[in-house]
Amino acid sequence: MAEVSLRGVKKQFGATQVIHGVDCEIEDGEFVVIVGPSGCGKSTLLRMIAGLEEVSSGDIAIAGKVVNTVEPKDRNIAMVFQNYALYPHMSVYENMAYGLKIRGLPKTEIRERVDRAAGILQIEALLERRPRQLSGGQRQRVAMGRAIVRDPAVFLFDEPLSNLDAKLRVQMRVEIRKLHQTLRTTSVYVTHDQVEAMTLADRLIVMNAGRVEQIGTPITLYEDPATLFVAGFLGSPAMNFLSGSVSADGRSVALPGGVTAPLAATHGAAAGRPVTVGIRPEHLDLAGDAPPTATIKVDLVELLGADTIVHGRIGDGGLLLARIDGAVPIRTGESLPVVLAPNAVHLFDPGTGARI
Amino acid sequence: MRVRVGYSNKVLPYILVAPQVIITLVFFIWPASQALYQSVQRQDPFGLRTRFVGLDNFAAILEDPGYLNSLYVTAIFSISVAALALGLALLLAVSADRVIRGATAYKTLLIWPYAVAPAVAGVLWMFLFNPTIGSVAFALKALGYDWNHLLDGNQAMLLVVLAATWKQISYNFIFFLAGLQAIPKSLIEAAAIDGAGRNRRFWTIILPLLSPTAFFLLVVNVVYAFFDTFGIIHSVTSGGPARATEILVYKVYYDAFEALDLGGSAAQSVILMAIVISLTVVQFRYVERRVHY
Repeated sequence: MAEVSLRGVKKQFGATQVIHGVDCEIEDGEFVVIVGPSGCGKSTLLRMIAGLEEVSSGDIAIAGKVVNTVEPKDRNIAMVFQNYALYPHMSVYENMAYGLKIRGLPKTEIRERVDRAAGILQIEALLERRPRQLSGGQRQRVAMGRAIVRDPAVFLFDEPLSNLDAKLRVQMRVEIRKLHQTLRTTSVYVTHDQVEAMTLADRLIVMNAGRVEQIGTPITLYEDPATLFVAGFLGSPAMNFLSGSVSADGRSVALPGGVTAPLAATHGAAAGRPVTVGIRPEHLDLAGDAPPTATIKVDLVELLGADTIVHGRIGDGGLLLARIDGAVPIRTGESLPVVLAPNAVHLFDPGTGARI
Repeated sequence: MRVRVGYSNKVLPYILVAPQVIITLVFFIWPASQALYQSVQRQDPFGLRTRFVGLDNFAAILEDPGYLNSLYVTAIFSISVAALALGLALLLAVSADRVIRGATAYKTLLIWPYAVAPAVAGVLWMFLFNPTIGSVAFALKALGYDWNHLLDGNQAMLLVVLAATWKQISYNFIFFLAGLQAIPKSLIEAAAIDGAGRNRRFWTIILPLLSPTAFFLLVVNVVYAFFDTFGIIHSVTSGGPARATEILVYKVYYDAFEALDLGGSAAQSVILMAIVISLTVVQFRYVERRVHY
C-alpha cells in the first residue's frame, strides 16, 4: 500500500509536448480514475507511473520515494493491460506464478498465493488452461489475478474493460470495485468511458489535450464542473450548451428564442457579457401548472421506459435535450412548456471555457 | 450438425487438383523413381549396356571409405551451417528489433546477401580468401597466420561454412525479425513489470514465442545445408582439398558426371533422400512438440 504523487509531470516525444504538467496526490488506498478522450495523454501518464515511459520533467513518487529512474520491476506496481498481455505459451497458473518465480519465492508459497488469488477471482477451475482457451472475461480475470498475486503497492489499470462486450463490462466493473473494497490497494485506472469513470472512482482526474481539467470526486465534477470540457464530458446524454448573454443586472441570462432564465446568484462581473450556458438534460422538467421558463419545439422523442429523452429547439439554433422521468406521451412537433431550476444553470466563458 | 460442403460435379475436383498433382509427378515422383531405378542398375561409362545388380551399388557405397568420409563431412558442415546461420540471424534480428534510427537501411543491407546466387557468393568468398590474390588471406598473412584453404582441409571447411552461413543469414533474419515484431509489446512490458530483466525476458517470453519460426527455419536450414550449398562447394573448393569439403550432394554430382558411375551415384542420392526425409520426420516428431503455436 502506498500513496502516489505526481509533481509537475511533463512528457514530450521529440518536439511534441503530450503532457503539459500534471500535479496530483493520490492517497493510500484510493481508487483514482483518469478519464479523457483518446489521445489526451491519460495512457502515457499511466505508463510513466508504471515506468514504461520516461518522465521528461517533474517527479513521480510512490510511497514517498521518487521513482523517475527506477525500473518498472522495482516500483512494486502491477499493471493490467487493455489486451490482457497474458503469456500465450504458459498456463493460467504459470502466468500468475511468473512474477513470483522471478522474485524467488518458495514453491509452496507461490502455490498458496496463486490459489488464494484464483479463489478471489473464481478462476480455480481454469488454472491448467492456456490463455487462448479462455473467453475475454476469463482472460481479464487472469490478468487481474496476475496483478493480485504480487501483492503490489499500486495497481495500474490501462483501459482493462475496453475489449469486453457491454454486458460483461458492467459485470467486471462491479467486480473491480468489489475487489478494491476487499484489498484496498491504491489503484490508478485509465478509461475513456465516463460511466466506468463515474462508477469506479473515489476521485476522478479529467484530462484533455495533455492537461488536467479538473480533479475531484465524481459527484463534485458532475455537479460543479470547473470547465466547459468537464461539463460536456461527464453525463449521458451530455449537457446542453447554448449561447446566451447575462443581463445588465447580472441576475438572469438571455437564451436564444427570447427565453430568459433566472440565475441563482448575481453575476455582477459578467453583466452584459456573452456566455456559454450549460444545462443538464435532467434539469429541464415539464412545466405542469407552474409558469414555464421556456417552450421547446419538439423534433424527436426517445422513449426509454424509465425516462423520456426529448430532442427540441428554442428559437433558432438553440438545440436542447430534455430528460423527463417516466414514459411521457409527447408528440413530435408539439410545443412543450418546461421549467428550469435557477441553480442548475452553469455559465462558462465562451473563450477560455472556464466556469464563471 | 455439420454441413458437408461438396461439389455436385464429380470431375471438377479432380481437374482442380490436377496441376498440383502433375507438378509433383513431373518434378518429384518421376525423377525420384528414376533414381530408385538407376540405383539398382550398373551402366558402362558410355551408356551402351545396363544390367540389373540388385543392392550391389548400396553395398559398395557403404563399404567405401570415401562415402563414409563424405557422411562425416556433411554432418560437420550441416550442423555448423544450420547452427551458425540460425544463431547469428537471431542475434542480428534481436539487435535490429531494438534499432529505431536507420532501421530500414540496416534491414535492407542485411537482406541483400539473399539476392546473391550461391555460385556468385562462393566466388566472392573464394576471391576474398584466395591464398595468392585474396585480400583477407593477405591480411591474415600480415598478422602472421598462414591461410591456404587449397592445402588445409580445416581451413577449406571453415571457408565453405562461412560462405554458406553468410548466404543463409539473410533469409533467417527476415523470418526472425517478422517473428519478433509479431510479439505484442505489452507482453514484454508485462514481463518487465513482473520483474524479468532483459535476459530473462528473452529466454522465457521472446524465445518461446519465436519457437514456431525457429522450428520452421530449422527444417529449411537443414535442407539448405544438405542441398542448396552445392553451388558454394562447387565454386569455392570443388569438394577438396583431398575431399575435405565433399558433402553428400557434391559427391552425388561428382560420381555421376565426373566419375561416370551412374548407378553408384543414384544409390547415393536415394540414401541422401532417405537421410533428409528421416531428419525432417525426426524434427516434426520430437522438436515440434516443444513448439508453442
